[in-house]
Amino acid sequence: MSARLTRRQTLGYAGAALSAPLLSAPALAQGSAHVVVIGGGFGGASAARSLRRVAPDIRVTLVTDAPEFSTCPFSNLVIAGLREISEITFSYDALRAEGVEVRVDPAAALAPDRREVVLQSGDRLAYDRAIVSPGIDFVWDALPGGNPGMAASLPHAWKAGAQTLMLRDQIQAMPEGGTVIIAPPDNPFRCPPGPYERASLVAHYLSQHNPSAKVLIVDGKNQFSKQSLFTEGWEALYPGMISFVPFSDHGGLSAIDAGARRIETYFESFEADVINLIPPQSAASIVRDAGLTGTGLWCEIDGLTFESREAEHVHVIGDAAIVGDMPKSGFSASTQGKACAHAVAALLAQRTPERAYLMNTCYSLVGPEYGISVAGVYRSETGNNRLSSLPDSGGTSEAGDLPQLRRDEADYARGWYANITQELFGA
Amino acid sequence: MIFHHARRIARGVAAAGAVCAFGLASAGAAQEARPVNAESCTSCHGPGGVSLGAIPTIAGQDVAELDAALRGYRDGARQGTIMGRLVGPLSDAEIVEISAYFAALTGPEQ
Repeated sequence: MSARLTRRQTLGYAGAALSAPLLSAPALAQGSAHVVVIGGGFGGASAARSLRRVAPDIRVTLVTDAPEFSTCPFSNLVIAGLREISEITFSYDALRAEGVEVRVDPAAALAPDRREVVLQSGDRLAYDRAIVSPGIDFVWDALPGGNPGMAASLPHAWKAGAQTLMLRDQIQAMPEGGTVIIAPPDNPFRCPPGPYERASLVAHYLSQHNPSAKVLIVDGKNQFSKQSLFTEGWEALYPGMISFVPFSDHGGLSAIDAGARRIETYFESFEADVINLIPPQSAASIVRDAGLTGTGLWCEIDGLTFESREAEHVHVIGDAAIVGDMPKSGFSASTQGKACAHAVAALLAQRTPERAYLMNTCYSLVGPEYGISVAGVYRSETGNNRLSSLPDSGGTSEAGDLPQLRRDEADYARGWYANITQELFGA
Repeated sequence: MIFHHARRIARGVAAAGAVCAFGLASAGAAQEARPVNAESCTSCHGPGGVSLGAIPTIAGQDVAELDAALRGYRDGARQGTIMGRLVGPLSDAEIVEISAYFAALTGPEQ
């Protein structure tokens, strides 16, 4: 053990000496450094809080759009009437109490060349390093006749809040025997198992309040996350209620009639009482406008420090980034926020960041007492943004008729949510 | 999909090159009380390792028990719903580091 320690120390010092002469005055003493975090969700809150804990001398400003944040995780329970929106909505008071300066003033622009964030109010925040976790935007152009106004009648509910409540209310108002269409996009998108948990919990609601109603998943892909486990659960809990139409059976969307609540595909047309249209996605516009997505839709980063490959001193985490094999999940964003905080603290102190063991777990509730999970493990590494899933790890819950395991994982899903939200937003 | 690779092949050999720092090797490490490799744990086990729900609290547990549990999950001797999927690639040194960190924290009853 001590041999490893010695070797690691030697390597660390050697690396630091190569990258920045130790005797020269650092550009910034750590005590005066300022980090601006853009985004108040799982990635941003995690990074800001972690940075205060890891390096209390660094000044941290969190820039967010709204005074409160509603989580996408567990928003499907709100849609199914199993939780209130207030139970998945959090303030930033605990972050303020820990010394994070919270600015509720949307970030309007990021200027890496000036190391500056411009807020909607016109205020400008200079930073030594920025940690950017702005989440997603929708690529409406990728839908036939697509435009943001569609969400006023065909809710995406893929950012939690008013859209979540709109979808809930539409489902509750649906006529007896009606149909709900859930139309998820192709990969990559935020929360790969999310549409299928949603189908499950909508079916749970309908089985109790509108048992002849149907849920139809008109999917932009042929396969989905935890597919065999979801399918098994649907057969056990809601036989005949949920149908999955893979891309190969419909050939893609060709027209959307929001008023008539009808979608045409190349092979078939579908009418419904409620359409949950989840559009294709990209990194949020602030990072696209700043040039951080290059020619693509997502930000490429260094796999050790999360620093943008397009701009120095800007680190991108969460759904806006392609972080190797890590899925676009709240858990991943939170994990990345912590590792990024360590890396940024090290860089500001002229140290070489350590590699980190990164985990992700996505629990899904097929029913209130029926949980399933998928997990993955990764190691941060510098260079080429691989962050490959490590061998001998990860994967889904065991398949089969295992009622105790499903109950346990439902309990663990609730336990996970309580703990991660406490860690991010709790006092 | 990304995760359809539930592999349960030979355990026990950490991936080559997976030797990470044991302990806090970096200069100025006094501020990094939590090893970066222990950061993911608290997303499920709760802030400071103190859990609010059904997932066990790990703060203040006996260091030998934590160490044995992690090795058991890693090596397949201990069954759980998810831990076996999360700790397979951990090295012995990382298990020692993580166990020592959480054992030293104050549990909820103390």
